[in-house]
Amino acid sequence: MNLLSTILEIFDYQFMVYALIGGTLIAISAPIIGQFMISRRYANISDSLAHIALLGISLGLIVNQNTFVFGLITTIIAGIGIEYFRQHNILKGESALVLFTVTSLSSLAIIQQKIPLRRSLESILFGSVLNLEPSDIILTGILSIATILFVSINYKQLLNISINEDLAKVLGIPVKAYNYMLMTLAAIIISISLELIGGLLIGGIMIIPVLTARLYKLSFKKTIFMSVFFSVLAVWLGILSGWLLDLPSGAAIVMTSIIFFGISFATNILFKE
Amino acid sequence: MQPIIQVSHLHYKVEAEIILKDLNFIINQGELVLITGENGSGKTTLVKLLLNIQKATSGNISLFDTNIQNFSEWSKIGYLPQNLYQVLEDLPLTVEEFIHSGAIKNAGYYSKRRQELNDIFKFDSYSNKLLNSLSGGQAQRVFLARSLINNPKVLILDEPTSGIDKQSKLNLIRLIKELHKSDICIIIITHEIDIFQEISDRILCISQNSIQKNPDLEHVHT
Repeated sequence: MNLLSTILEIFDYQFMVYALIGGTLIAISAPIIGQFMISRRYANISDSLAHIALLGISLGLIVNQNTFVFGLITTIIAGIGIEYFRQHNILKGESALVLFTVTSLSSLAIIQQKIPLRRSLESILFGSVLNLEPSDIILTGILSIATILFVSINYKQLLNISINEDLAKVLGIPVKAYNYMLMTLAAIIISISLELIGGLLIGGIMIIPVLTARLYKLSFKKTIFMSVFFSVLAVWLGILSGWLLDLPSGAAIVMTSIIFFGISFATNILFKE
Repeated sequence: MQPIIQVSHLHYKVEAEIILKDLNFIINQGELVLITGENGSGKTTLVKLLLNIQKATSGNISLFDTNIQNFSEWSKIGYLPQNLYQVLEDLPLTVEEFIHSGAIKNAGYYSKRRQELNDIFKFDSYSNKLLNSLSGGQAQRVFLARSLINNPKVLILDEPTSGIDKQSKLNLIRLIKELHKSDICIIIITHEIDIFQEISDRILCISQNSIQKNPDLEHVHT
């Protein structure tokens, strides 16, 4: 009874309610994009773009402007840049990701050393339930719904691009345009996830639930639904355990996500045998 | 016979390197044509030019009497790229999802066409399985079914025998032979000419960046 009342106490705090709403919205949209990114062998994109978003946030802090908008714009520009390098064969595979990641991290290190920022970046690195403001929730809601709508409407085109870009081109699908749009959506999802999940842990919500769902060897579509299920559950249990055990929300969410992966992996092996 | 593909003075180069030089040929309705050549001779590049995946440096390609730049009826073309099985190994995709993903026309047409293709390729018993759990032969049948889902007038198969065993190759030849009875134009890019020679109408051999008039086909066997 005591535990239940402690859990229910969450709803007495507005910031926890914001975290639950924002987290659920992110948990629905992030693995959807993650599934298409993994299919294109771009699983590391979440880490790279998150690091770039941190640089954008730092720039926002320097000029004393809205850090979210700065993070979002920087990430979108970088996402489009990475896709440009890939499409024009300037840097193949994940090389472009390395280039963008180290550039942003080194710039970040120099900024941190030379310019005093009015906010510590630590909470953005590891996420915090305290980070979300009502305006963030509204923006997160709009962008998450836009992402889900985009993928639902263009599902067949995105699936064809995941199967084989040449096959998609022969079906008349504008592959380049879709790839740029997908990268922009990844940048958006990563930017809105940053405050709650944290820049260093973003893959735990975008990529790990998809890898977990893939262990069940379901169809492409069912894998998406399953990954959303795992990621929503990870966000709820992560926020809850973070609340009960006084842990940083991002780390608690990602650790829950990893536990799901571990359980699914073990079940998979046992079931196989 | 109606010309389906007309290629004239086609050149393709990457920076200073010439890949294809002054290619000229016509492929007609109902023909089964082999395109062959040594590894790296530009066979797959030629296919990508014919499908407008890559743009020619100069020259003209017409599909169904329309310049390829203005061509829009892509449902008339069925295509099976090289090494698709390896590419799809990591993707959680069922046979049903894969075949359906290629359909451009409406749901009613798809369900009728799917039934027709199932009568030929017999994939119903494993349509809910993941592609990466199929044998090479089963996967090849599914790939062929998908490339035919829009009832195309042209079927382009790039190295369709790569990665499958001898029995599956024989089954593939039998299926292609069946398809050839209709008026579909089939283009097969292969270095295994001996397998397809018997059922083909014509062989285009690319060597030294051009189509050879009297090719030494023995040289192509690898």
